[in-house]
Amino acid sequence: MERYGYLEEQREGYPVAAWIWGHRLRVGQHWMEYLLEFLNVLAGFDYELGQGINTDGASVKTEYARFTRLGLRRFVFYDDWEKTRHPFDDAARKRLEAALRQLCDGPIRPDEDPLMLARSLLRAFSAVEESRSWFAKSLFPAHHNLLFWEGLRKGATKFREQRSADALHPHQLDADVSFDARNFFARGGEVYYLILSAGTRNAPALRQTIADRLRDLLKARNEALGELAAIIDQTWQQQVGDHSNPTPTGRLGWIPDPDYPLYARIAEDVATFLQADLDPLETLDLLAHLVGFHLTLYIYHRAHPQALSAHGDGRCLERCRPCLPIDALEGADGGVVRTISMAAFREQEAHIICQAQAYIRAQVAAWVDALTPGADPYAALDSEARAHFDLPRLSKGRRDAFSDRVNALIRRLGAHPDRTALSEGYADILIGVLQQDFDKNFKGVHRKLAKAVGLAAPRKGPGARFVLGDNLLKALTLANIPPGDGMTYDEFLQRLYERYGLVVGVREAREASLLERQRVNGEYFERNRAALLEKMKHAGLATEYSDATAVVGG
Amino acid sequence: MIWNANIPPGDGMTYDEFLHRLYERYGLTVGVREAREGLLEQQRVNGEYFERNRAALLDKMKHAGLATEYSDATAVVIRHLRRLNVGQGSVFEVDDFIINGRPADPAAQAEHERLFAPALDLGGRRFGQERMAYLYGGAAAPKPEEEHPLMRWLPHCRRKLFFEWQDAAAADRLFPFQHLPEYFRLVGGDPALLAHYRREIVLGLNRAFSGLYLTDADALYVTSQYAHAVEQPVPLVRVKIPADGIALQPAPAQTEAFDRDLTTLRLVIYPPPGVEAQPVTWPVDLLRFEYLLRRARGSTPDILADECELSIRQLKDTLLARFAVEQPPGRVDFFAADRNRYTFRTLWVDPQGRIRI
Repeated sequence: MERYGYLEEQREGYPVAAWIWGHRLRVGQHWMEYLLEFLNVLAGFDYELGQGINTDGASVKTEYARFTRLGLRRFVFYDDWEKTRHPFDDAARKRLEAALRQLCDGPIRPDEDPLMLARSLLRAFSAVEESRSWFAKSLFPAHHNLLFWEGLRKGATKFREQRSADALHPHQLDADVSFDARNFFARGGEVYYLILSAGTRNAPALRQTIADRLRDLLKARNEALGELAAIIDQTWQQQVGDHSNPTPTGRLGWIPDPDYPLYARIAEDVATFLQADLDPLETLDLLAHLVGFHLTLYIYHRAHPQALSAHGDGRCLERCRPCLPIDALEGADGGVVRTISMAAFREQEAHIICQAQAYIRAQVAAWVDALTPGADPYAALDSEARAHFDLPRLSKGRRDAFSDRVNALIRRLGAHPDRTALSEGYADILIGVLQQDFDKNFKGVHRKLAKAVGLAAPRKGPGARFVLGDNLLKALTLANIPPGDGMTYDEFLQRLYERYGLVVGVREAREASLLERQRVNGEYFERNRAALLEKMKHAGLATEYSDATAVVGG
Repeated sequence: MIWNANIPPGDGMTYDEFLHRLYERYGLTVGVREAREGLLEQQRVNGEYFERNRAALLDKMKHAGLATEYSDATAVVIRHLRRLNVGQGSVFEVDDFIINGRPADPAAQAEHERLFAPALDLGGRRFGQERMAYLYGGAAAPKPEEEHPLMRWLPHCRRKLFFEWQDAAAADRLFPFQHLPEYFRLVGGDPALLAHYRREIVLGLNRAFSGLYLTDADALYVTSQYAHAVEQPVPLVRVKIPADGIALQPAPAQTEAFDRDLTTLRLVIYPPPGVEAQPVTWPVDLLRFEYLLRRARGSTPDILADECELSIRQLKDTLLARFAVEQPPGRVDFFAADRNRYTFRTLWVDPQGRIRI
């Protein structure tokens, strides 16, 4: 399989999800962290797409810079309520505040303290808290200078000895904070960076437009806020002086199939979306929704039963289009559309699981086909499986269970097994062993993202179904209709279906064969269509004229 | 109240008392949606409504700064609402009146009988039977998850009541639009009254834009903030429009559905000093009026927000697109919490790297 991104020389094994959906998406990543990580990577490559690649003709840069901004984030997040207090950080904060105090004009009254005001202002941009330690919290990137990479204070929680920090130089206070933990920046944002890069490989102008617009968004807007953040961080850097630690860097993961047509479509969406003239904070917020939507769609596309075979004939966008019926009626039809939508949501999850199993079966079958006569088939398969799926990283319990089951298979099939039986038996064992890791780390990604961006409801609890939340609806409208353009509501719905598989009206329901499969009256989808239009009119996204035509955008 | 039979008594507090207390303490008004939709003949009972919005409500209460002060109380409120399954039944006085009548008030009871005792339907007995079935239950009662047939009568009955009750003021009181009489007066076009309510609308918009309990009505502040703030939000002020640059006017409206002209209200917002742009005109219909006035008078974002927030957001986008200009370098305007209120603040960052207020 062809891959796109950065391949580590030393490593060939990956979990099964990586082989289908890239390295990697993980359920632990907060939905906002996809945007944060993506923008960090982009800014770390100085706002250039297509960098950090070693698979497809090496790019100029192979590593992106990781912004540390320890001064800024200590100033904003480290306080008396800190979860992970550390004498070094207490000392660092004290010194930073003293230095910043020098920068404030005039006598300070307690209720007129510019530093307190600056802190509460910046603190309001706290993007991810989730009761994390200060070094793992993030700011919403209202400006480039608010971007920084996830950190980790080594041994922070094991700290017992009350070392005095007074005698230490500022750079020593920072020395134990590392930036390669990947607890939360799990590479989901890198995957998005890679998708946009791969999607614009043959469209350099588009690539440049996206990068320039994002640079403009992060550097030319909210400049005063950016200056404020810069002053605070530089004040700390001046304390550290020449001893500062070198800027840490990172390398990308990879995605499969660089020519996958969905990548180009996602890049088109982003380019159109970024043309909209919105408030910069609103743009970033909607972009976060769009990122989550695109990644969910990407998961569904590649989970489609035909995804492994359809790719390559140029029609996979059509053949692997997911079927996502949107419940816009909110149960007002007695739950008919909702029930259909819930079934479709469960179906997508089933596709995801089946795709992983199908991949394992296909791999095992290929290995079995390649077995050389005379050699021990079990040993050969073991060595393939260990290498390809990186089995050594599994827990000892899982590995022992694997060996036990393989031994049982050997006893059952003997030393010279029938190839079909061997392939099936071995694949079953492998599926059993890999399942737990897959369920724990990947299966829930789509659910978490879809719910967070408003593609699925309810946010918590059972009965998930597809919906279109206000923000997502707005983001999708802007991603499909450039400013000044417009299209009829029916064209818009048709486009949502063709591009994403979203089913709203009766026409799309018929095209997706939903009416036959679910044996429902088309009238329900007609009402569904009207309900979404009502919502779009409320939101000012659509206008209805007296001749009953509705226009979206425009 | 019509749904009393379905509500298990909890903690010795009836839902009535609970709603009353809820309104007094939090300004929360529950369920206006159905009444409005009934008027528009789209009555639908939406059981999932609150389920879906619970998280959003909590979110919004947080934005209003309530979660920090009342976090325990908030949780209690949310728990109550969850158990009571709000939205499964109507909570409106008008529906209560239609179904139960008002035996204690002879005049109203006589009016009730005049309106509803004669045949509402061709057979002449269906409404009466279904009303009795609703009130007294019995074997014919539908399953809990099914809609009671009586619900289908409500939109018609509400309309009948609204148009046929001869004491208009008494009828108006039954409808959950608290500011309906004021709206009617404003549509009449009294300039002093319009100027007075303009301030309230501006205050309501300030609160709706920022999500905070602002108190300044001298200017309209168009704000922008990180929408998912974990801490108390600190909105950046992008545009400040003096209240004098805003006009509230009666506006003729024509719709094909009516055979005579309607008058509604509109807000005309002129660009702030120094900005060359066309003014922004925004229709203020009864629903928006009700919502903004409630916010101005201290209500937190309630269920009406679901109907109005999108259009208010759209207004905000328009104002930003048309009126926002680059701030002078190094200047950030925002609202900061200052003891018990939010105040407009400006922070300056000098080119020399100094920070001042």
